[in-house]
Amino acid sequence: MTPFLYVMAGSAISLALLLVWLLGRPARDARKPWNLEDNVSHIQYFPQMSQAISSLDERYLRSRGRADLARALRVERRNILFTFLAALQEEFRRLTQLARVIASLSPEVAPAQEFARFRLHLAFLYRLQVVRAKLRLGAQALPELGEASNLVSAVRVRMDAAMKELGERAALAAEMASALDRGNSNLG
Amino acid sequence: MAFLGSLGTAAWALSVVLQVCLLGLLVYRRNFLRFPVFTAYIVAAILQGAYFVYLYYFSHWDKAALSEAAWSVQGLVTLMRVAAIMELCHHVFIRYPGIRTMIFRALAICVLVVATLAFAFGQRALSLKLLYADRAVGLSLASAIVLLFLFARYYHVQPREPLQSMSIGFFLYSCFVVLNDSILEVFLYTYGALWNFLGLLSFTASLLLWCAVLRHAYEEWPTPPELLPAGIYHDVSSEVNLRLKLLDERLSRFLKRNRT
Repeated sequence: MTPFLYVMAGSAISLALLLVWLLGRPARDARKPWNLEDNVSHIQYFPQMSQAISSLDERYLRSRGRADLARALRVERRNILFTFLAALQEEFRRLTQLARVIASLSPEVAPAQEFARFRLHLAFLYRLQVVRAKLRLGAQALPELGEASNLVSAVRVRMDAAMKELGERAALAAEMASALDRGNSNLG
Repeated sequence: MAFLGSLGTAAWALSVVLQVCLLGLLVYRRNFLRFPVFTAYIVAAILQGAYFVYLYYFSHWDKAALSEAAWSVQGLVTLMRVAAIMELCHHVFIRYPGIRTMIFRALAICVLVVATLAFAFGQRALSLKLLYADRAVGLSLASAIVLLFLFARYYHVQPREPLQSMSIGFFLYSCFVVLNDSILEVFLYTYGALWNFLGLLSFTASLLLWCAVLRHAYEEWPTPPELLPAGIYHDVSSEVNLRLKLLDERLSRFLKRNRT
């Protein structure tokens, strides 16, 4: 037996396993179906998040000798922040999903842009996980979260404006995005 | 391994029968109009079998000449296989001309890179170069099919039948070629007969799958696809990418700041 034989056998088996996974139905999405008309953005909760992450209240409670209450407050607020991060991520996922639908329905696409978006999406998810980890370790990430939220908001506004220009065709794309979100698409 | 002689002949005969049946189905169901390259591949495989019969039973060439003649025909059939897989890819993304062009390029690059790597890493004995080339093509085609399904999933395109099963047939055969050739490289003298037999069996399995899925006529989409104006993609895509990049940079800056 040579090492190269193992490499080849491993490659073939890995490809087979990957194909089995790809052929399996995507996990049924239990999340609420999304429509383009749903203009509810999680960005509107950002002032509340600012309040939640602020250490002023915590310091005030500690100065008053209520360390236990300050700790409980911190835990509660951290949980809220994690929920907010998850919502931000979900909103981002939907926007990039819509971008993919638009790409698939366009007569021509720019491969460089598609690849860049894929790479940036991965990078965004990675960094979001790091931000979460840092928050768990006690770091304050508010300014950066604010910037992140603004960016997501701007993307959403621009996407909505672009889609409105489409008229009847936009309705078709929105329907498809909604259908995809429910996991019952059959486009091919 | 003497029993492999008769078993091998039986497997070969079964494979030829299935190839003829598949060709008959392609013609009867008029699927040859939708899959002309795939049909040409099956015809090439049938002709290859006939050529092998002529070579081994009627020609009086020496062993080396026989081997070279057999491998050269195998090379042509392999090229047809590559073209047939490209045809399947074309059908899967037929309603998506924009991403189809991009995916074709990505698949071509993938095939070239994987084939070059597999060939370069295995090139130790010059006498085995044909085997290495066969294995390299097998691995690159298997990778290309996986990449095809990856793209389909990424863009939410569900490959219709029989396209999915036809691709799986090609994948199984290509994967088996990789394994079989790798084992043959190590046990060259003792594994030869079994290698032929197992290769035939894997091809027969793929033929069975193709026969099963091509027994019905494949209907093309009745209406042309509804596409968006080109400008929309460029506006939205560049905007999304810009925002993602900015977001990524700011998150990255935040991480660096925390590190310091």
